[in-house]
Amino acid sequence: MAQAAEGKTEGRAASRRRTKIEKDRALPPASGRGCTERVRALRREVLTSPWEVCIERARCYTDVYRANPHQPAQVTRAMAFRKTLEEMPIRICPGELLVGHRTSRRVGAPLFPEVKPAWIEAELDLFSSRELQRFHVSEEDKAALRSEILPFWRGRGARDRFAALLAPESSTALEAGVFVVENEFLNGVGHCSPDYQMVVELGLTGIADRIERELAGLDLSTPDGLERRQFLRAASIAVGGMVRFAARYGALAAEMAREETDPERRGELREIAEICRGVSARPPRSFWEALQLVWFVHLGVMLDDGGVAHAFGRLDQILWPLLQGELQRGDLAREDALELIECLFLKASETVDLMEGIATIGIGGNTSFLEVTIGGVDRQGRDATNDLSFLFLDAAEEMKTIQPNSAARLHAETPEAFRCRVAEVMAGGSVSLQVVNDDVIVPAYTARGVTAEDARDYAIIGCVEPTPSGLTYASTDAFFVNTVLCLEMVLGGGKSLLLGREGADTGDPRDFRSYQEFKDAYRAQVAHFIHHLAACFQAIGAAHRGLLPCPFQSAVIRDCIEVGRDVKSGGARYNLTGGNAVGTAVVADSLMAIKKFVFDEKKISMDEMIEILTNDFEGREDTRMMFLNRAPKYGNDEDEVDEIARELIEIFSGELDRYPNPRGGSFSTSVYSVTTHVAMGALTAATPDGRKRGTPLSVGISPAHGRDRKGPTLAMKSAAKFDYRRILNGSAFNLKFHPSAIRGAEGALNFGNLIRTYFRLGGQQLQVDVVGAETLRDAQERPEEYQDLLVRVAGYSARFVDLSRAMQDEFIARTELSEVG
Amino acid sequence: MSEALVFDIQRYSVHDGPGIRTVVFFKGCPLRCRWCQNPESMQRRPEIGFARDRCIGCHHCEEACPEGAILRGDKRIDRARCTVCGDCIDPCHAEALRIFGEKWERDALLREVLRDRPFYEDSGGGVTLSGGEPLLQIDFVEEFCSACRDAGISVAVETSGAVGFDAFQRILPFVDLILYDVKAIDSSLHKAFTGSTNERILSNLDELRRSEVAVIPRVPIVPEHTALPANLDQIAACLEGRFEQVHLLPYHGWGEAKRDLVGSRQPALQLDAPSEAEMQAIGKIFEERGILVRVGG
Repeated sequence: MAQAAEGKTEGRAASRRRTKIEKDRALPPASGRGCTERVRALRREVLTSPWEVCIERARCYTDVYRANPHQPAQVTRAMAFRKTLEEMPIRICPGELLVGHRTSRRVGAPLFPEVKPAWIEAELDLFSSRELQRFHVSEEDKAALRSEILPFWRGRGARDRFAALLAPESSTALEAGVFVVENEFLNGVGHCSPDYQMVVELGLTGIADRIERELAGLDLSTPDGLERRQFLRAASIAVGGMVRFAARYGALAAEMAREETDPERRGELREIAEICRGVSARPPRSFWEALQLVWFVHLGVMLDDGGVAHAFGRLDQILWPLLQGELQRGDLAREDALELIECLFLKASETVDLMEGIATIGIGGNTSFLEVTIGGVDRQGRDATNDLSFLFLDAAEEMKTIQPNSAARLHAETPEAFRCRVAEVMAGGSVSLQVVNDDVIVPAYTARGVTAEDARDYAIIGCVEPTPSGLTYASTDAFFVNTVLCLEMVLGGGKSLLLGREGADTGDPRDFRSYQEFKDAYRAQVAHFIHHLAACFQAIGAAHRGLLPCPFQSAVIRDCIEVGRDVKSGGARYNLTGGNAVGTAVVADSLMAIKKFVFDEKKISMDEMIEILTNDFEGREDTRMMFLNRAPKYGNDEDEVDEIARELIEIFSGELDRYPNPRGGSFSTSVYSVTTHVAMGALTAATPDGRKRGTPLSVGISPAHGRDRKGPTLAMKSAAKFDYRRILNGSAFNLKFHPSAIRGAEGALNFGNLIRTYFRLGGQQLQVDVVGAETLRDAQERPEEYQDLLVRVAGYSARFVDLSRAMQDEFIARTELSEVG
Repeated sequence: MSEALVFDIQRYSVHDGPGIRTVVFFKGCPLRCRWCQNPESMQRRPEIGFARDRCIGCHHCEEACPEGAILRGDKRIDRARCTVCGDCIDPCHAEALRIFGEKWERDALLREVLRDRPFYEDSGGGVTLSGGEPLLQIDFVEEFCSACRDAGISVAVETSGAVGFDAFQRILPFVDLILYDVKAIDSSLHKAFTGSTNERILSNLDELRRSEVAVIPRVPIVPEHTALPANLDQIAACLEGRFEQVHLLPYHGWGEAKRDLVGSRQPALQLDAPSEAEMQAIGKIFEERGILVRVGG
């Protein structure tokens, strides 16, 4: 510890000591002080660094696979993982307090050719020029990829194995485009929440010891013993790689310290060296060490398995005991803790993923979907919001729009101050912050057989997916089902109207005599596709189990070591496969319209309905307006249509419940859509709710665009009517506000109360689009879709679409001004 | 049981009294303020509005109108012929034609408002009666306020004050807050702005001060009109020592585009909205007299 003490006298700790700790404790939770010079500089660099492809991982994996054809996949992958961590060129950037990069580049994406190699080869020359998510690849690296790396993987990817395993009828169902499963091959599965509680408690060496203990106790005379041994050997190799990785950074920091001329930075580098060496050899002893260890492990998890949405889990809970002690002893000031959190946010922002061109369209701007969860109840059910929860909010507010996303857990006993602060940060435009409701999510998990303690310990993965953290393998973003296309299949008598794709034969709808018959046919289409979806997942699961075990990830997800099984083979305590019902509101509104106009009022015959939709309302604008404005729409607290929406989820989740997932667990339903509602909408015909051909489907669990015309309160009442026990895998409910409608102390207070009521009524999740000038301009052009957008005009809230054109223009100009400022 | 004539119901209103509120806009007003932002609120009878940008040209209105009062062109309604029977509204699926002024029975309106009840409970909100001038429909309003009180809903009333004091007396037992417009102190100025003198308005305000109910004066800040320095001084002097706070509502031109909607003949003012700096300077006039100022509601 001599070195550490020396470091402190010169380094950051010295400035820390000068800070009056007592003063800091009295600081209000809202800092509003703006971030430090260091953070500002780091942020600038991270945001302006080019996105580059790094081939180091692909090179190491290819070398190891080539040299070890005799080893089982688990061991090969572990060896490849270790080699990557041993050979990846490393760096420490100026000003960094947390160190570690996933690739040899500052903002770089590794390659995962073992998952789905074909597109890498096909699109190699397009990465730097394509429309979305451009990446630079050096000519030298391209040449290495073409000559050495990619040829080895041709036909060997997990995606190729899946295709080989799939039965022709399931292949046909998959090709109909009603459901999409490619996320399982988006560089890997991702979407998991490592057990950072265990990682911080045991440290890397503690985990390695645990693996050795299990290995020592194996009975190798049984088949099970042999299986377990392969897994444990692999896990041991992988953890060993991570120990080396941390030690390499320690050595680099020490070397850089020796050459550093600035005494302040020299002290920091020495401290970093000590921390990296420390966490390679023992559990972390300080908040800083713990954050560094979490980041190292996160890098490991993201190199072991690609994919996106590796979640941090409940860091405010896991790290609070260490931080609390340091704050009390005066070893660390609150603002220094905040700076370290912001450094973690900036490390997270360096994480980018290279995706296949077609995937960039479905996923939009954010590429890695890392998520932190804060607040909520503890394992015993008591409120566990703490000072660190507030610090994470400060970081979310100051860092804005960068990763990670943050989820604030709220419940009936959440302290008023926390809820208000959350509302304030959301209203301030931190679109990366969402709120989720413990009182709805925890009972949903216990109803599924998860223990109360584990259920209370859930964290958000990816976009909105709640999952018992650290002990679940939940592939939460595994599939998307275009439910509107299921409806279209009914109208087309088993074929889609627009593209003629095939579904179940549900008969000619012109012969249906009742709405019930129509609804039954819809259920049959959903059942048909979900049956084939389940068949696809058996094949996907087998491909992953056989070819893509994740030895490092499995070492940091609870229970895997004890049961001696990889996460891909069901080693985690809870196993789920989650996916989306896309377009729920459009289907609900459409069924409502069919019921009303075709069956109840007989204003339109089924034949006419089919013709109108096939022709995209050509020459029938009046009928479209009738569909749009003369039938109840989900999102206005109208029971009849809200009940249909609720029933749709029962149909969808009920069909999913009929099948086991490939890891011995179950499928779970979610209703968020990321941006698939746009891509799926483009392939979907006009619908009886008045939606035109090719336009987007509804977003998540929100009402269809602009159909909630009575304001946020009644939209919330509609959304609160769902049985969220059936939406175990999460939902996204968006409200659009112009900042003027919710900013300021009182605006935020009312907004906080709006959230509180929504959650008391049974809402599951809420996020806010605080809209900018671009959206307002779009609202001018397409007012039909923005009936719900509230702005504040002087003292009054108003619907933007109700303002005069001139007033709207002024509003846009004002918004642009504030965006520049 | 009496019926109300209501032209709009707005939810998640956060500027018309405390908390999250539902605002019910009653139709009909005794004043004709030159800056009025709700031209559809003035007449105490239903009116048909036409929003030309929503019209898809299906001409179903022509077929439906028994009076031949539908014109081709921007105005669309021949208001001399139109009897406001409303037959054209339902066939207009695009909702270019709208009726302003729907009849509501007390219980139905209460049910409609109560849909937001859970949001009042957490935020300390409630219902706000606005207009037009809600107290012109005092028989209904009294019954409605009483029903709200019975249902445990807090009621606020926005008023021009241009009614007999007995109307206030009838609602005071059921109301928690009165938001009271003060536009000018000089009566002839008031008449020039609003078409009416203000003696009764000022005496009602004075009288209300003696009641238990919270009263907050609100001053619309309209350039070249109420915002004239002498007028503001007089208002501040009138409020000084009698009211703790005042709401200053900056003029905006939002409602002026709606004048065409109901064929209002009142000319649009088309003034520039007061700037933030101007609002601050005006706020000082009140603050110097010890009155708490809030810009906006």
